[in-house]
Amino acid sequence: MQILEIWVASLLTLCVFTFLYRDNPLYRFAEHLFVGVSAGYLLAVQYQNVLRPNVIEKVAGGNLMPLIPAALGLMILGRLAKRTHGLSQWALAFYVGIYSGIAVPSYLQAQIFAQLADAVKPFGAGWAAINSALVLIGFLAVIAYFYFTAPQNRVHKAAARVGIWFLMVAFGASFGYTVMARVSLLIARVQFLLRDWMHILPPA
Amino acid sequence: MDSSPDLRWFNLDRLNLLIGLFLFLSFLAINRVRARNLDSIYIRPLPGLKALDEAIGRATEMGRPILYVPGIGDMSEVGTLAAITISGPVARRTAELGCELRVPCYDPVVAALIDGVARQAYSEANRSDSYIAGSVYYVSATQFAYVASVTGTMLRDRPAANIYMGAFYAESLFLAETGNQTGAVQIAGCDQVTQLPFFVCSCDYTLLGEELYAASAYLGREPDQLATIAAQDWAKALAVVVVLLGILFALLGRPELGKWLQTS
Repeated sequence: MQILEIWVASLLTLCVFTFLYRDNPLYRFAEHLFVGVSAGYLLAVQYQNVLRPNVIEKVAGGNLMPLIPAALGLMILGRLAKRTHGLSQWALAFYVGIYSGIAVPSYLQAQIFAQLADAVKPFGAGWAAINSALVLIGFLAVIAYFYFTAPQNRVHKAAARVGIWFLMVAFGASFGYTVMARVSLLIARVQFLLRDWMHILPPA
Repeated sequence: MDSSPDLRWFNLDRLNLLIGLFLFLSFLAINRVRARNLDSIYIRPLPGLKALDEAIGRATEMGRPILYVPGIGDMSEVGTLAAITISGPVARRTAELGCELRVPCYDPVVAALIDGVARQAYSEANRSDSYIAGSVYYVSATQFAYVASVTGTMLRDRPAANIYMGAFYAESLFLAETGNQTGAVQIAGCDQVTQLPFFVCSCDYTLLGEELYAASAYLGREPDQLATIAAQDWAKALAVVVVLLGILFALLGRPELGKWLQTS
């Protein structure tokens, strides 16, 4: 069974790698198989992990409250017919409202307060002071770049230009870091092909 | 040892968040009044948005579709909310010019919402009949199955323009690089700092971080959205003042402000 799994995984990997040449039937086969299998898998996961424990088992146990979210979920299916299309709008409005409510405080906490708290630190001694000064200059310059509702005068424009330089340096570092991580993934896949499938490399 | 949950109506450790939220809401209320006169709020033009119009025009001339990719975020992500908002003006422009729009979606709820927004946009452009049911479609909620499908669409249908707006993760480079190889005009907007470098490298125009949020207001020109952008700018100005004061106080041996900003 394990040999079959390795063969299937290896052949599908090669099918996907053929994309490097051009779009072709092998890639299309892997693509459609992947999309289809993932849809089927997710359906099973949703049933096992969401519907069964949260709705079916609770309702069977006498708790009728889960019928409310279940009804909202079913209302989304109203989209399938023109006459019941309006029902789905109610469910979607509820869904968007709940998620926006959840998103706002967590965004405020993670993206604003956490960063402000990190920025408000006393300057260190010696070289650390230069580091702190760079962080402060970067913060002010990047804020200047992202200030949209004022026409840029000369000072604002200069600050925004410094801000974009800070951003590009950060992006360059992030790019290099992520590309190295992707190369590691490629190495792992090639090792799988050469070791587990072709037995060219010795076992780990 | 008592293991019963500590049930409280309000977590006092998060009082700072509540104050921040009320301040922002007051900025929003003031700017909503200001925004009643649309000319009273200026928004800096963003080059990527000017290119959006050109890209749709180019696609119309070439007789090829526009591919609008709303990322793989769900409704809890602000980037996804912005992607849904931006899809409105994009759909309206494609409707006006008679260009085909395709929107492959990762999240079924996002697909349903963008479908509604696109239908509305076609209706506003008096082109309801031109809307093709199924042009906004769900693909897969598995990250790389979604990537495989979207990249396949790029190579087979050769869209004239690829527009990536929303929350993107490891798939960003796969999508943008494939789109680049097809020669399509590419415009991206993303609020994930780790993914922005890939879009900057492989797209013609990139909306960086908050530009994505400003884009929806800029395109929509609706008073509420303009007010939101103005309120955000006021909040940024306040953040600068708070940071400068915080550093000053910290240097004077009073680090209370920095501690107050920390949330649990």
